[in-house]
Formats: sequence, structure tokens, C-alpha cells
Amino acid sequence: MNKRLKLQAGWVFIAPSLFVLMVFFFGPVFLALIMSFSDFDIYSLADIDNLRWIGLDNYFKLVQTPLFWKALGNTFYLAIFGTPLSIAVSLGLAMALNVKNAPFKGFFRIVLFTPYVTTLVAAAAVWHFILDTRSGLLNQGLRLLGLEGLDWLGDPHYSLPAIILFSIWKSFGYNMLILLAALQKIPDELYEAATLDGANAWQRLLHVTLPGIMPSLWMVSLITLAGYFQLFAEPYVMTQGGPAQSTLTLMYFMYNEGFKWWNLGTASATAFVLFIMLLGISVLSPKNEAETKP
Amino acid sequence: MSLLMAAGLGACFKREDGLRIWAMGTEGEKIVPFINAFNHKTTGPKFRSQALPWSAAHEKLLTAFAADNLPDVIALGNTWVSEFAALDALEPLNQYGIDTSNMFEAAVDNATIDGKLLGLPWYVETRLLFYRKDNLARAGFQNPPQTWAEWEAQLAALGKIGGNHKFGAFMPVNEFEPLVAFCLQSQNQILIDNATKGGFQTNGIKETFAFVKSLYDKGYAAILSGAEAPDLYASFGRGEFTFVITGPWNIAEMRKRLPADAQDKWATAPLPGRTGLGASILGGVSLGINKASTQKMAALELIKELTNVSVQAEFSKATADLPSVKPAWALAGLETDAKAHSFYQQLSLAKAAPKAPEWERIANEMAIAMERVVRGIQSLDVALAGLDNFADDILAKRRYMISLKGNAHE
Repeated sequence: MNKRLKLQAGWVFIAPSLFVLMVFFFGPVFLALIMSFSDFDIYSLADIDNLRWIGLDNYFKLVQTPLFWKALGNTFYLAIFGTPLSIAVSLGLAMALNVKNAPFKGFFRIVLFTPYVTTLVAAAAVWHFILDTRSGLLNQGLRLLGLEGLDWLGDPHYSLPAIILFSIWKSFGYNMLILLAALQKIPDELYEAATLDGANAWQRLLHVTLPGIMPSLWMVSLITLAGYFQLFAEPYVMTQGGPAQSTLTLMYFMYNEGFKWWNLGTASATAFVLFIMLLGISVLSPKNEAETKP
Repeated sequence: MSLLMAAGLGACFKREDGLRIWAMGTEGEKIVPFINAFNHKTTGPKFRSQALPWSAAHEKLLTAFAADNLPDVIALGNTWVSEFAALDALEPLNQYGIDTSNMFEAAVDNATIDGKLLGLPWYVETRLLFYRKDNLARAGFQNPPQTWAEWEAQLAALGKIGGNHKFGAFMPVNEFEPLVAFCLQSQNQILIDNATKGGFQTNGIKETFAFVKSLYDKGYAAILSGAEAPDLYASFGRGEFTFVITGPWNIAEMRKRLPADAQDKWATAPLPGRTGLGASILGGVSLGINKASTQKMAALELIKELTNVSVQAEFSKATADLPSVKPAWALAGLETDAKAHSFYQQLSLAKAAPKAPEWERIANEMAIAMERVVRGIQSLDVALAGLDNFADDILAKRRYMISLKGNAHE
């Protein structure tokens, strides 16, 4: 009886959130699923009678669209190369900030966090200058090192790496703070004990630091991975998906289908493909989470 | 309290009072005094204008249609007319006996879908050659090219003049307009069978693609896309290239941005064609009346006013746009301007783009296919076959809609 009452009170408390979720999340998602089985386009917008139910045709057509594969390939490229690099940069800087008695820690923490809070569009405009072929800071730096400058945003081979570079710079601050918090929770005694046992710096990283921050590292990796799968604004602002569609991501492809060409059927189908991939990623969470928790 | 509320409500209603016109970009702002003048004069309902940014206008118009909230008078980019015809959102104007004989034929044709005149051309634009006279003279030519062959000869000679001259023509590969303009010069149609299928493997279109490809292959034009292209005005001002195919807004921009010593060194000329001056693509904006408007006669009065010769001339002076009404050119002082006069010539030769709602998407794909070809990712034949497949696929629904209409007539 008591338990039942509690349960009801719980429902009452979450009812508002549930209601909002239903109306603004599950409802639209369900409608989008329905729409992905139709050929909703401008003709259907003119007269809903022109809408045809085409079953899974949108999905079959997607699979046969070279541009979809190109976008998917670009998205995977971003995720596969971008995620580890992002994490490595964040972790490296978090560890640097975690060094005992390092001077100006607070200052560096703020400076390193700034990219994350800058407006993406403004930052992209600045990066556009940095990546400029002739007068860009990056190429000038490369030339100082005696290397040939690259046409970062203009050459289809380097445009994605340039986007990754920008994304890493833009997002490492957040991951860094989370990892820093995790690092600070590792008790010093563990390091002292490891040192006494004769572990060198590399072994301490591998056997003390990494296990200590594993849950945070997992979470940060998954969020970063999901972020790369949903990358849109960076190419939208910097390259408009070009050159030769080399920076067209799955999200960008979906945006073009839906809002540029008004093919809401195809766009919804794309959204579901992306949704299922993201669902897959969220299942990737570590099974032994409880054990690894410090 | 209730008084306050009544006042508030009153204000609300007042805001909704009158008829609406939406226009894009600078024109949307510059139209205000013309609307005020019209309101002052008219005995009928008054209008108020709202400016839409170009980048969001297309989306906004479609969502407004979906929400039954289109304004009474709609300024439509000329490539959108067939889309709004498919939506059946525009009132046919044939029945109102409007005289369009003093307007550019291509502009009227562009606004005419299946025999229905769905809008009045408001201002027009097209693409043609802007060129550096000094570079051309150094290469040994006094006049701009009239034919493809002449142009190629000039581009070849320009490749040898050296100095800070880097390449003959500035044609970013992501712009479809020059490619489409050259295709419109062909005897073949880009889209065939009432614009329901691709015509990319017809001889004329194939030849055009091969011609444009050769400009890149021979190094006459650099393979650049928009993001990586150098600043047009700076490099044209330094004479780093000789030709650029662009639109009328650049007359004002070049006058403003090019250094003073470069001002007498550039000119405009119609596009070269196969055997003589060639066609180009017609652009610009037309004014349509919302089919759902309850005040069509008032809307008609406004679009007639805005296409009236003297108003067209005044509007052209205010915006530097090219009037769609031919007699307005002299009134606006454009006839004595050699740079604008080339546009008059080109507009008389211009053609409307294929009239399918899906056209813009196909045009985009044309540029993408050309980029793949010039970057060596695909051969021309494969790209053209791909374009035909793409067009046939995109136009499938249009074929279905036309077949429905055909059955309904039987």
C-alpha cells in the first residue's frame, strides 16, 4: 500500500516533464518516423492528397544515393579521427593543469576553457583567417618550420582535417574540465604507492591515472563521439559542405534535404538513420561501470 | 485596466491592418518610400512592406505557405516561380489584361508557367562578362570576344602576358550560373519532355560541358570554389585575371571597391556564344499575387504601380537594380552608361531557366558534377550520365503529377 502510494507520488512529480517530453520530443520523433515512410515534398505541401505512402522507399533510395554515403563516410571519418584526438588533447591538457605546484593554474584553466564558450560562428570566422592559404597563421607557422603550406579549406583532402582541428580547439575545454575534476579525485597515496613499487611515469599513467578516470573518460568519449556524429555548424559556417562536398556531414545532408529542398520524407529517413546510430553509441557505455567507479 | 487591454488589443488589430508585401534584401528596405507613396495615392486599402533576408527568404516563404500566412503581394526570386506554381499559391494574371509588351521577353516568359502569367517582372538580372581592357590590349585584342573560339584565342594569348596576371577567367567551380548560361546557348534543352527528364547526354549540352571543362583543363580558369577563391574585387582590381562572369550588382560594387586607377580599365560585354553573342541565364525578381488574398484588386494595383515606367526608373536609381520595363532604362539614365548597356543587350538575349520546381537542385548538381570532372574525380561521360540519372530521379514526382493532371483532363 505504502509502496503504491509512493509510486503514484513519483508519477505526479515527473508528470510535467513527461508531458513536455511527450509533446516536444516523443511526439515529433514519432511523426518524423511516420513521415519517413512518405514522399512528403512541395507537391504534398500544396495538397496533402499528393502525398504517397512509399513504405521503406526513402531508406532504399538513401542507400542508393552516392551523396548519402559520402556524407556518412565524412561523418565516420570525423568521428574516428576526431574523437581520439579530441580526447588526447583534453586529457593531455587536463594532466598538465593537474601538475602539483604549477604556476598560474587558474589563469591557464580559464584561457583553455575560453574556446568552449566563444560563439561558434565568430570563432569560425577567425579560424577562416587562420586557415587561409596565403596569409593564414597556420601556413605561416608551417613555413617557418620549413614546411609547405596547405590549402586547408580549399583542398578536398585537407578540408576535413581542418574541420577536425577547429572542432578540437572549440570543444576540448569542456572535456578538459571534466577530466581535470576526475584527475583531482585520484588520491595521491595511490601514486606514492605506485612510485614506491617502482612504477615509472608511463606505468603510473596506465595503471593509476587511466583506471581512476575511466568512468569520466568513457562519458567524455561518448559525448564527443556523439557530438562528431551531429557535426553541422562547423562545416556550415566554414565551408558550406565543400569543396567537392568533402565536408558534407550526415546532419548537413539532412538539413539540405529537408530545409533546402523540402524533401521532408528523405530528411526524416536520414534523421532516423542518424538516430539509430546514436542509439547504438549510447549502448556502448561500459558494462563494468560500477566496478570502475572510484 | 480594461481600457489598457482594449488599447493593447486595438494596437494588435491595427498592426494586422492593411495588406502585406514581402520583399528580399536591399529591395525590401528600399521599397518603403515607394509603398508610402502608393499608400498616399491610393483610395483602396494600404500596404505595409516587410524585408526578408535573402538567405532565409525561400524557407520563410514555404513555411508561410504551409501556415496559410503568405502576404498579399510576394516578391519571388525568378527561380522560385515554378515552385510556387506547383504549390498553386499564385493568382494567374492573364485575366486582368496587363500589358507586358514593354518588358524583357525572357523575364515575362520566366514568370509564365503552362501559359499562366503568375507574376510581373519587378527587376531583372543576368550574367555576363566583366573584363579588363588593359589586359586584353596587352594580349593584342581591342574588343571582347563574340564567339567561343574568339574567347579561347584570347584566353590562350592572355596566358602568356605574364606580370601579375595569373589566369584568364575567374570562374569558381561551385557557381552554376556560368555553366547554365552556356548550356542555355545550346540548341538542346537542359531538361527535356516539358522539363520532366534530364537532357544532359544530348549533343548540345555535352559540347557545352566539354567546352567549360576545357577552360579549366587548359588553365584558362583556376579550379577554385567559393570558400578558397581570392577576394574578387582585390584581384580584379590588380588585374590578376581578365574575365569574370557575374551579375549587375557588381557594376556598383566594382565602382565602389576597385582602386581609382583601375576604374577606366574595366568594362562589361555580353557572353560569347557559338556563332555570335550568346544567351545567358535570366534572374531577378517577380511580383506575384497570393491566390488566397482577399484583396486581389488592391494587390494588382500595387504591382501595376511598381512596374510603371517612372516608378521603375526611380526604383532603379534607388537600388541600382535593372528595370524589367525597357522604357525605364532611358529614364533611369542607364542607356548612356556603357557598362549597363551591355546588360540591356544581354537581357534581350537572355533565356529563362528550365521551369521545374526542382530546377535549382538540378542546377546545383550540375556545378557539383562539373567540379568532380575538373578535379579529375569523374570522367565527363560518367558525370553526364550521372546528371541524367539524378534529374530523372528528382523529377519522378513531377512526372507523376503531370500524369495525374493528364488523366484528369481525359
